[in-house]
Amino acid sequence: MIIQTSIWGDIEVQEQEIFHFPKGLPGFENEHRFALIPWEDTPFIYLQSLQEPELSFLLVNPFLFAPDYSFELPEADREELEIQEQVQVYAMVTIQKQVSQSTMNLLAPVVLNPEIKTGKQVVLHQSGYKTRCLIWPEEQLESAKGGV
Amino acid sequence: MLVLSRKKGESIIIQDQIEITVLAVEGDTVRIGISAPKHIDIYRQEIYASIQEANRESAAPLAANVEAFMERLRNSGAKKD
Repeated sequence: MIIQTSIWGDIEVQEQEIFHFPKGLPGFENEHRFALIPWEDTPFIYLQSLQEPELSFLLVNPFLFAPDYSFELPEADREELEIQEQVQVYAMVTIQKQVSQSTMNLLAPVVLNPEIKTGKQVVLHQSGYKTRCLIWPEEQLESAKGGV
Repeated sequence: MLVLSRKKGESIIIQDQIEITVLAVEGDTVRIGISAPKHIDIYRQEIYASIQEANRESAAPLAANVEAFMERLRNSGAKKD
């Protein structure tokens, strides 16, 4: 199907790239259908609303930038997403003005069931993870040397 | 907003499915127990608000910022082991 996006104009997406988010996303509770559009040759992927061309999010494979990242998917979320075997995990990226300070949300990963194409932004209570974790934390250390 | 008083051990029922019990009161902290169906998501308000805020900030990144981000990524690509 052809969908409208503000970044690429009208583009064609395959049916298998469309995911249903029954509860939407926090802050965007009425957006239920999104297409996953890979950003070629990168670990990043776009989550594009099918309803709202202007609405898209940049997602990243969090394990690539935070190799120690781990969590137990709560049983209720697993059941809600009807996850049997396959699961995909992404973190939402916030691009900051100073791009090297860009962050990803490890507290609330986007969890997908690629078998039945459902998704949810899961909140990891008591995990200690934050909504703004630096993607490139080493640069923070470097820039802090002079400042603090 | 409905306002009512409860003592320790007493509870409130919402829509016959959600039960909220006051477990303990210590100083200005109230410990609450919530029983609800699995499909009901329960969050601490400030945590939900912080996720909403982060999502709004992440939404529709500007093309110029994405371009700068991509550039940053290309530069780090070689460095990453």
